[in-house]
Amino acid sequence: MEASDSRLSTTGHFTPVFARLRGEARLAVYIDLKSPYAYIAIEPTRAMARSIGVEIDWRPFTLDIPSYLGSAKLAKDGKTVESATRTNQQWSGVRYAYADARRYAALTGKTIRGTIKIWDSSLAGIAMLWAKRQGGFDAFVDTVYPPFWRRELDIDDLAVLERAISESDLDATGFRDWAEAEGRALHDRTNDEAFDAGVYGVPSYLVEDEMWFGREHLPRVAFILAGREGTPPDVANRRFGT
Amino acid sequence: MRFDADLSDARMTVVLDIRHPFAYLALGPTIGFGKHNDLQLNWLPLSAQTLRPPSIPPSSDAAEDRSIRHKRNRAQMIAREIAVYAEAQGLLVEEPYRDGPAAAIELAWLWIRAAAPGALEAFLEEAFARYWAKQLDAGSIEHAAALVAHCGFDADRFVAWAEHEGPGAAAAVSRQLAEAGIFQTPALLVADQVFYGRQHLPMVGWLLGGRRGPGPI
Repeated sequence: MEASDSRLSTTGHFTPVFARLRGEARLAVYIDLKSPYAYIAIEPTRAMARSIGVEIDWRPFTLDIPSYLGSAKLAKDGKTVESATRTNQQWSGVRYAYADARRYAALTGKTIRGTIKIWDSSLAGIAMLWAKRQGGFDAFVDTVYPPFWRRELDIDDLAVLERAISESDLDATGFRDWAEAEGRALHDRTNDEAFDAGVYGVPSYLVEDEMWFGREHLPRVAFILAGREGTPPDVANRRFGT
Repeated sequence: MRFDADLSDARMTVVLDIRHPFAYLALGPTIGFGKHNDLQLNWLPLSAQTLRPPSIPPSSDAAEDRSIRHKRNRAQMIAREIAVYAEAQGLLVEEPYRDGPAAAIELAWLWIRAAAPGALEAFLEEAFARYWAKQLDAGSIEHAAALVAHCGFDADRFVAWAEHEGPGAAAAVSRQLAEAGIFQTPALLVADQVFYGRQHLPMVGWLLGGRRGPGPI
């Protein structure tokens, strides 16, 4: 990678660390099941990659939300906040993020219900890695995202994830043992590597030596993948390939 | 002359804090958007939260709190984002982490908006360019008056207004924006919705265009 690293850094604003993290993939994308922004980014990301003819190396990245947005949990009635350590500013940001994701989700028929707690989505991330080993990352993601955001999927439950793997037409045999040992170790290692390199949110895109957070940067990601011809585009939430 | 925020009547309101680089990055594309869609935009100033620089990593190998590292990763990403997109727009951002008062330039903004709305966008382009080239003290009435004069307007009349009715009018605008729930900029208000960030311009265009065709996702 070192030889190609020196060829990169076309803007001078990035370091080779992102190219190293990207590895052999032309485009690596980090997502987390518990992020509504990751959910609504999947479709335009796939469309962008299809329009350029690039394979996506999808990777799970488990957000540690309480470490930067405070924690919160709804009471059993599903409406009132039972406990929270958030500032008013954090609440404003979180409420806006959900409302924003929801209005875009509605355009493609997706439901995003308010979450009842901050999930530990690491088991779901491990299940993504399991699915990826079988070439079924897309199928698994398409199986789990919609029900999770309808609040119909308990991703703390290994059995639920096992069933989702099977429903994705993937083999779940051995998943439980793997998830508790090698899978957990792989997940934690790759999560730490990404975080140490500078990944902090999802969706995050690695392309050449650049890292971008948020689907609004898809026009730039596409511009880079297509060879940086013409005027660099500005940020935009937009459709691709239509 | 009308100094109120005019939130209910305007087809599209744009709220910017001159001190935030994302507001500067939004200015040109939003002016272009307005022209392309033949819109008279309702531009309003707001002193909201400014950008914080990334923290400095510890010099030793001592363990560091994950939330601090997260904030640093995020701040570094934002710095790269500003640099890359400013370069793409041909904008000079001398120093992204600006703070200090912006009341004087906000008063000039509101005064031009009321006295000569057709000249406001040119005024904003000049004000933002000077500010980000570190040639404008946004808290200085003298600097604001010089800019008003540069744009061809009566600086003395502006200063007289700024010393009397101006602060009350500016406070009323800030209050109206707070009541509308605006807490950061750039904010785009359209069709009873608030959007933070210029990335939403395609969505705003789709809404203003009557939601024809598939919406941007």
